[in-house]
Amino acid sequence: MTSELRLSGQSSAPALVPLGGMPLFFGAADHPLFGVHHSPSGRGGRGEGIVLCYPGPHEYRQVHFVFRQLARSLAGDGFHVMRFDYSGTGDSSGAMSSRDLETWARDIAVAADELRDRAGVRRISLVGMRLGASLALLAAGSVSASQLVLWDPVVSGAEYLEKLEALQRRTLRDLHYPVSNAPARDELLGHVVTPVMRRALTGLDLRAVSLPKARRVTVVCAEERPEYAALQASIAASGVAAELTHVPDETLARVDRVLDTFLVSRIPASIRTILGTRAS
Amino acid sequence: MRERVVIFGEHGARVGIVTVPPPAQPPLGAVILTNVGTHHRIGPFRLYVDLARELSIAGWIVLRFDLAGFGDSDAPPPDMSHGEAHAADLRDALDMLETRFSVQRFVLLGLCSGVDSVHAAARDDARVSAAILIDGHTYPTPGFQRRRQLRVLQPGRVVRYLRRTLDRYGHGGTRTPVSAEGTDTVFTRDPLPQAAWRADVGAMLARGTRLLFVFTGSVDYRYNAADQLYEQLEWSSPSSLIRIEHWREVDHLFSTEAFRRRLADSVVGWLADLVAASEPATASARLALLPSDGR
Repeated sequence: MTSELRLSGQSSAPALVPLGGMPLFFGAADHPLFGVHHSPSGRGGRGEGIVLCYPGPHEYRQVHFVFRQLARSLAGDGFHVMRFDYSGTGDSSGAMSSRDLETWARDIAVAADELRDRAGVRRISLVGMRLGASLALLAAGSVSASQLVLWDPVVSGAEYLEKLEALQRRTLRDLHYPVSNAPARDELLGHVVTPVMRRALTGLDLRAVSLPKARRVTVVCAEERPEYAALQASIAASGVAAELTHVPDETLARVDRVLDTFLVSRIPASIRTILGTRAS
Repeated sequence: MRERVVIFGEHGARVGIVTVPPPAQPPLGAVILTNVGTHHRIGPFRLYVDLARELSIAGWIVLRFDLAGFGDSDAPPPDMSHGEAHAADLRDALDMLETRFSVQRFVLLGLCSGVDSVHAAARDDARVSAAILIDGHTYPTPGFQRRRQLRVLQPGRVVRYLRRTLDRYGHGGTRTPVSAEGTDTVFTRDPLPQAAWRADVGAMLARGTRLLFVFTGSVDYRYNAADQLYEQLEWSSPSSLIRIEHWREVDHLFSTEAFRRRLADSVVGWLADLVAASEPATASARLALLPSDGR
């Protein structure tokens, strides 16, 4: 399905191309996904594509700006880049109640296919942050991903859920009178989390996932955690080249800290280095 | 209902999504949703996505787009302030909808800082027939001060304060509210002087512009009674062109599905009333076409 793109202005005027990438709808006609395609700037290009995989809805807003900037930077480095919204999130079709991990992993494959079609590239790498990193690992096989960069991955879905629930308890406790945000049973921090999604998250453990056939996997983290080292070791033990890169950064916002500021992190620069020096 | 990407603008590319109603009958007009704080065009908790789809089902074309410097739109031109750029963006949005979709009735909706550009456009652009202003301009009136003093010792307020204080000591938490989506505090911005605001509202109403004001509990520290708006206007009687909704238990970002549902129902209903009030002859004609048993 081609995107529907309408431009205003005189028919003889040049088409407007946003600096932040070309927005489009793609995928199935009855279930379109929204994405933004960043083409390489300057002459030539690497002939490679990168799909950026957003975190889950609870951390999406803070990362939107960062991913836009990262996509522009990677396009400047010669890559075709696609950032997109999973089903039931952002501008994509579907309601909150339709969200589930299996669909989101398939959405990554759809985005990769769209990027291959639009850009004419064969080699695709996946860069995912937080739950997006987990989904990238799950989707790596169906995408035939060349490289995986996993930024602060959610290794244990059960622990991730528990952190969100703890944050919700604190948020409700700190509400200012007279506001009364009593969430419904299937709501968590303003987002619907259905029993299907809750079961999927509770059962998510990246250490038990079938390992991808990616050429190289890099786990990038702002804070050293034992589960990241365990994940890297688990992947390496399967014969896939896997590294763990620690980029200390006190400004990186997390789900258990105040998240009302933009991310100012050195990790995007590290990701560019990882992808730029290892692409061939 | 179909959603389409649009890119427009005379001062840099502005990215938006137009939600178009089913083609069964001509659209009622267009609703434009402006950015909320630093949220891009989907709004907090996807509020604008769901609202656009609801309004579209009700017969409206809806544009939600990123103003200059927000979301996926380009930055404002270096020779324009954000306010000037946003005013130009809204004009360009109206022009685009007028040209591409033959829209003649425009409704603007702004929440928080989004109220600023909506207020200015509703004041300056005669094409705007209605505006929805959520947690917009507030001015502490003498009535506000009296009510605040009386409410200090309300049981609910005291219980909440004590519980929060005891929990804080017990859990060693911080004073800062935390949230994955945003804090409970309201964004601050340079206020429009009250006299100017009163004059602007008067000018809008004189032109027949209908206004829906929504105030949530998050602005309770500045707005604490439904009719405070008329205190701010210094009017002794209400206007038929104004509707006020005062939802004290609702928060600024509508962070539950029930709150978002309430806003959608209120907006859709108010716009239906707006159309009925402006097209009585058309409404009567539609009624005449119904079967005699009323189905």
